[in-house]
Amino acid sequence: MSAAPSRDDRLPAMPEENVEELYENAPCGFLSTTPDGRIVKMNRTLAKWIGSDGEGLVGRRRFPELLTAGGRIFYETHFVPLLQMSGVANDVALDLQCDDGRVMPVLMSAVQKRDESGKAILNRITISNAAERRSYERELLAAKKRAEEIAADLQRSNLALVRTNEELGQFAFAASHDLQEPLRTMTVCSQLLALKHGDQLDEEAKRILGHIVDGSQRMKHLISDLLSWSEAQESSLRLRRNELKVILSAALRNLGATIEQSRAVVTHDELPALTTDAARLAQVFQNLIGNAIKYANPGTTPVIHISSTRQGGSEWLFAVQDNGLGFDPEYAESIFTMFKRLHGREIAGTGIGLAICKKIIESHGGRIWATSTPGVGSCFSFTIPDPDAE
Amino acid sequence: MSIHLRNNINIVGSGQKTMVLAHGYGCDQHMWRFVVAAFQDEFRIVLFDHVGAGKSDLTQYRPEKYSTLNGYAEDVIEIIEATAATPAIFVGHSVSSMIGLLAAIKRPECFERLIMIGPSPCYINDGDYIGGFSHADISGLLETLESNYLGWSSAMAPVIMGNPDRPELAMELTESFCRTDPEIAQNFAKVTFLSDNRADLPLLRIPSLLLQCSEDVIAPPVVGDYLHRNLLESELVTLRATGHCPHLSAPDETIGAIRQYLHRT
Repeated sequence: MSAAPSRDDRLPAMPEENVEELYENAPCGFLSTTPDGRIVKMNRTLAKWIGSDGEGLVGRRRFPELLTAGGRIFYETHFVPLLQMSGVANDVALDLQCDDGRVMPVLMSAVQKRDESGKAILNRITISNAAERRSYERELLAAKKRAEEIAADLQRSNLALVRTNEELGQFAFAASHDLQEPLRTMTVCSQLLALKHGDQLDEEAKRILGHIVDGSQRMKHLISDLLSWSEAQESSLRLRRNELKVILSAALRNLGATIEQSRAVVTHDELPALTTDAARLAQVFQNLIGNAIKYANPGTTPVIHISSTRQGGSEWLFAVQDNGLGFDPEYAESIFTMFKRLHGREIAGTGIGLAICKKIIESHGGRIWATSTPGVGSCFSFTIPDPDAE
Repeated sequence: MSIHLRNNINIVGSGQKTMVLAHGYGCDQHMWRFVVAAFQDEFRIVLFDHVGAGKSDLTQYRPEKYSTLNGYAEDVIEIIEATAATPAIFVGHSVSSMIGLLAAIKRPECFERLIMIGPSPCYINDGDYIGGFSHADISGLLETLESNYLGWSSAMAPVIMGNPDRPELAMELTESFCRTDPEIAQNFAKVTFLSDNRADLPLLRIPSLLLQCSEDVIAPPVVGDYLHRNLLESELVTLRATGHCPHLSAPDETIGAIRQYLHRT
């Protein structure tokens, strides 16, 4: 094997480059000025952009005179001081005022040439055409401004919503709280009337008094549910790590008489321990199981099962499945709104129970929904996040 | 909030008298380095950055306060009160000349002399008055500012600097000089170039020196003449230097003129 050929032999023949010609016709403008801006030399490219004879400007014009008035201020107040202090200024956006009245956006970079003593001799400036780039930048800028405006608007409406929500909650709390007192008076007085003067009343009057007592009972439930609803705020949750088994038992104990009367069969999967507000979650179980019994198929023993499933790593899914009346799936969402009732007076209820469940579950960071086949049964599902799980 | 942190006050040199140096539009106290070197053996020199510029505390920038030059003048009075026991010699560049004027009208006892470098009481042409610019020109400046700051957040403001020949200074300048918050830069441009302080000129009772460059597109010689006619006890010196920052481009001549004035009066 012979030795490798020398580098020169391997390179293809190159065309010659002429430095002088490069300076004159480079794809950017070259400009040299005295430190105070007087034009010393410019290349043909720049002269062509400006639309004048470059030689004619030498010594006669100061470079800032070739800029727009606004640009001249920026040049004198930013570009020159920076160049004088640091010797360099890069990517400064300015506009050339061309002889034919055109304005040409450019980007300028400059270095200051100094002698050994540090005295400035020349400013050497390269100037590139930035017309297209400037228009992209303006578009970006406009888009950024729009985005900022939208974000600010959103923030404003969010704040307003939060405030309205808080006010509504406070209103519901105050109203329901203050309604209790006169109601108590009405209840007590109507009971007293029945007790002390019942024998003096005729049948018609007794019937009317009975309506008053019933009415005030219903109103009492309504107010106490409204209070529960308005108190179910995220900020008021008392979160602890609780065994859900214990919470469910509490709910079933509260429903003791109802379960006994209906002979309902309530079963459940093994339940985890989760960080929840025990009293509130017990209320959710109580409302859902209570509903399952209340809306049972007449003549059928209510069979209720509470299932529990781990969903991914970060939440649990619980479902309360019954064999009751069920409901038209059309109402699957609206039943969670306040005062929404699908049944008349024949089944007692305030129409707030599911709204309370929704608020409690959502204040825990979960979701709640329902599915049903009319005549076969309903299934109320909800999730509880479990951020503690790995 | 300490005024010292708010305005990044630095005190150098020593002397019986205090000299306060106030930078102009577009820069910060670094602009004074030649002047500081020349006078620090003779004066106690107070340097500061206007709120919004340099290393001032940007959190102290309140648009309502700084929407007129009076807000800046209040700061100057507070700075002098906090740093000088005797009336101070106030040197203001560009817009700081008018800021100093307003402060000296309000609290003449704080000022011994005013030295104005490239001052202008009004940048906009108005009838017979020639300020050098039209409203459209100032709109053009605001657009140029927007292109250079691109309206990005201050953290992303473009670095108007490359490989510098003085790395340590360059670092500092990149950090402060070129990184003004874009919105503040716009506001400062507006308050600087749209202010009209012509009516305030006759109210000044402190002697002043006007340093006028022979060619200055921002404050042309006719403006220097106008100031000289309207300021009592003013002295006008036209420098051979050109441009708007003679204390940077022609420090010797500028320092000489200041020294002569202070020794003579």
